[in-house]
Amino acid sequence: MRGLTGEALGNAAVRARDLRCVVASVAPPFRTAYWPDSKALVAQLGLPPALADKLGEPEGRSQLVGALAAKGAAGLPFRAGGAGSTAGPQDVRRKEALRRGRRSVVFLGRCSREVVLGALELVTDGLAPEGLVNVKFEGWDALEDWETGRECASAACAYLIQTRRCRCKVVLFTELKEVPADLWVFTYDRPRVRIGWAATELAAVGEPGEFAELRESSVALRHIEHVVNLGLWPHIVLPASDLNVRLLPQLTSALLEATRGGSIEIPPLPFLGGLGGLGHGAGSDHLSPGSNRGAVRCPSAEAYAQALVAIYEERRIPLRLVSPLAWVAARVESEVPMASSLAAAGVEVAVLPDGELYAAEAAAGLESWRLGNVSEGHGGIRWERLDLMPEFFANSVRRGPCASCDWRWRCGGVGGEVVFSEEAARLQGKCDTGDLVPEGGRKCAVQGEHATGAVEAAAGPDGGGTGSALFDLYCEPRKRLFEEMLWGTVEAAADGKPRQERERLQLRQDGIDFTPVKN
Amino acid sequence: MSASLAPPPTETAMGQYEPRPKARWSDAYASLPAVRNVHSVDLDVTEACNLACIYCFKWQKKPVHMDEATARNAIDWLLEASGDFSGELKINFMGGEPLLRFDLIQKIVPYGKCRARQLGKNLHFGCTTNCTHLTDEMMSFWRRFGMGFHCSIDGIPEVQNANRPMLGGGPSSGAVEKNVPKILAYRPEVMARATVSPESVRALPDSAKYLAGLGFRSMTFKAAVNCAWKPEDFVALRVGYEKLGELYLDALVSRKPFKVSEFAGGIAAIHSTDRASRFPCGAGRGVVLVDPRGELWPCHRFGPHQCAGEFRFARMGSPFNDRLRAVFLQYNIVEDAKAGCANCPASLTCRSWCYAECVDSTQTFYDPGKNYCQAVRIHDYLKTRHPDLLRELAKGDGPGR
Repeated sequence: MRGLTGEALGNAAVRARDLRCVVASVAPPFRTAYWPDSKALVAQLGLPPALADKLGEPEGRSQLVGALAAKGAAGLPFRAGGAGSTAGPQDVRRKEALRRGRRSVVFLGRCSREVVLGALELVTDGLAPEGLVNVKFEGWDALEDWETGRECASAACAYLIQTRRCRCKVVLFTELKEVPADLWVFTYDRPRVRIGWAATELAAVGEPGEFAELRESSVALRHIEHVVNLGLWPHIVLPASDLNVRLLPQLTSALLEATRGGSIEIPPLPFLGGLGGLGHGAGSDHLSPGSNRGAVRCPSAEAYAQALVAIYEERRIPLRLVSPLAWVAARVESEVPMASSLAAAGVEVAVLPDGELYAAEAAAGLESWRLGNVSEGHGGIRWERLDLMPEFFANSVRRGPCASCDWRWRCGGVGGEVVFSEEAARLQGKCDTGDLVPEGGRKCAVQGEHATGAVEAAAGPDGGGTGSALFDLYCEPRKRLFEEMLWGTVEAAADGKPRQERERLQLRQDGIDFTPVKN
Repeated sequence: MSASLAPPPTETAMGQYEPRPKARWSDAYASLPAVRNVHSVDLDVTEACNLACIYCFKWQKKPVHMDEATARNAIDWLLEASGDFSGELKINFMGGEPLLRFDLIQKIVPYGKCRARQLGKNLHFGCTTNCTHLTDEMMSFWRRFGMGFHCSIDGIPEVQNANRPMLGGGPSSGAVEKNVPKILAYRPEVMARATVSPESVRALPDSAKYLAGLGFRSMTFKAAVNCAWKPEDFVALRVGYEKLGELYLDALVSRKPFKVSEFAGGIAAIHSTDRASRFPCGAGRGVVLVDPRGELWPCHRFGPHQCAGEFRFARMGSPFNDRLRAVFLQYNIVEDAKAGCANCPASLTCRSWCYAECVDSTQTFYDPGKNYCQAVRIHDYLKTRHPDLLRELAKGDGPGR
């Protein structure tokens, strides 16, 4: 039950479920108070003791919420938050802190050594010494063209090591058609390198038996086991589709077993970005499972959310290995408000083979978010485009559906895959979504059909005409997971097992992000 | 715990041991301890052995082999269970004779090395071997991955052949003499670990000279306290250790590379406050054994043969027994020592006892039994009676340097 939110309780939200009650702040500093025992709660609120047994009934709930509202958050063992509820310098500070701590570069296509080094130099400028750098090579098969893949990865690793960027990872995406013989030696010398696999063929798996068949027949799945047996932790992108969405918990478990703890990212199909067929503009054809099945489509937001919650409820799956669950777990436990979910807030840039620099992977090809060219150096880069972003994200959590969401400060608003994909779709005349992005000379040459198609479908009569299917796909699962994880901690505390739940949410010992050992 | 230890299991109880289903990756994560500071895993890759040592504590040998998934799970378990431990992690292949499973070792060493590197950890592999099954292919593999050796060898051929015969009863000393130079050429500092039985105690000095002649610079002699020791055997042990001490002293004065760990470690312990510990060893705290069935034990001396598995931490996939581990973590030799220690002349330098030998000898956790104490007192006596040794040590170039 969602009782009252926001201003009615002094920036606090009330939730009640299974006779338990939680009051949590919606703005930083984040605080939570809960009563595992309903008798204690009604006694504290001065309600009749008999009401403790009736909190599950509508009338009981109504009285409870009314009493909480009348008493106000100040009278509870809970400190309501106030900071962060006004836009201003703190947003800029958060953005700067974010930019100091983390940077990501996505190379979309075969980039030359010069482009790789030039982009890394531009991107890591201003990063704190202990900052995290993520480098991805997408848009081509790095293991099939191993000569180029090795050169790119070597250049990136050499640059990062020479500049003492110890906290980094370099992901080479591949279709795993083949595995080079010297892969073990190469990655042993460069332990920051990971092998990424976009498991688009799993988008078409609709029955449990199909996965077993696929394990026998798929070259990529055989190769991923070989890679795992070498000791590498692969990163798998498992697209959620309308066909496989019910099987996602089983597929996730099976992939975790097959990869012995490799990380798994489960985006819905439209968020696959450049990974769909490993090439931009590939359209949705590559996701066709075969002539007998028809094309794979985007899952509904509700089904996708249910699948992620089911994965969360599977206790044997470490949350830190599965995204977006790790994303939510890191934020639900955080004391610090999220600056922005929009990766392009100066943190992530995308680079095309010709050196063109864009504000995010999802923004590649959007002229308004072109930052410049690597060859132009620092002087030629329009960093001011990024400086518009804090203003944008500060607004994004204050208007539209985000403004009334309890989780807005822990979530940080929608991500770039929604904003830029919607803009791309609108530019192509596919739908009329809200104009969140400032005007500019816009054109879109790169975005794939599978992203814009989903927006178009949602804008049509079958999609409810909201024009924001991607927003729902992004927002609903995260909201559900925030709720479930909050209740998970409450129920674990009530059962006397708070440590196990906290350990799950603390995402202990991330298999990728680490502090090097001093030898 | 000391009062509630169950009697040793019967043959029937051992025979009821159920085989496990195939290990899954998630099993390793289901069995993590609450306190994550484990830094060493003894990996029993097989219980099979090509020797039939007379004092072997794995008295009911069954040719149980570890499967590949369990071995990989053990590595993943260590990487997780080590938590924030920043030192070198160690995996020691044990058995049985671990080199009988070279096929498995070849697969899991690159796996473990690579996984540890990706986590920013340093994982070292070692092996305790009887040196009879070593090939050139193994040596090149060991060199490639910088792996360590620990040699189990009892001494002169007569002793070796009597105490450690081949499974069919044949001599083993020839194979050992052939393979030891390969190991020492690779790692000159490898230690020879000799077990002293009542039958071989009188050959102790000769064995030390023999091992030095083979090229070992470092050696240790441990009394097999589970054998039937008579008073005259202890006298012989004392005489043997005295001669060993003199050999060590001569080597120390003449700067020869010769180390007997009983003396080197013991003398260092007298002078060092750092070494003072309330724990006898790392068993159950930083060290854990993974047996071929994928079960976790405090060390290689524990296993299903002891107290019907009462000391089992977990089966891979089931929750870790943190209450049992707390016994090891909170163990305090000062507070928990038996009453007799108060008047023991070795109480100042004794680093206490082996947990497993306590259980073997007295069915308690805190009383190692008469044989063990007797051997420790001989060590202690010899450590403290050589002022020349101590003087050499005070020069700052002492044993083990």
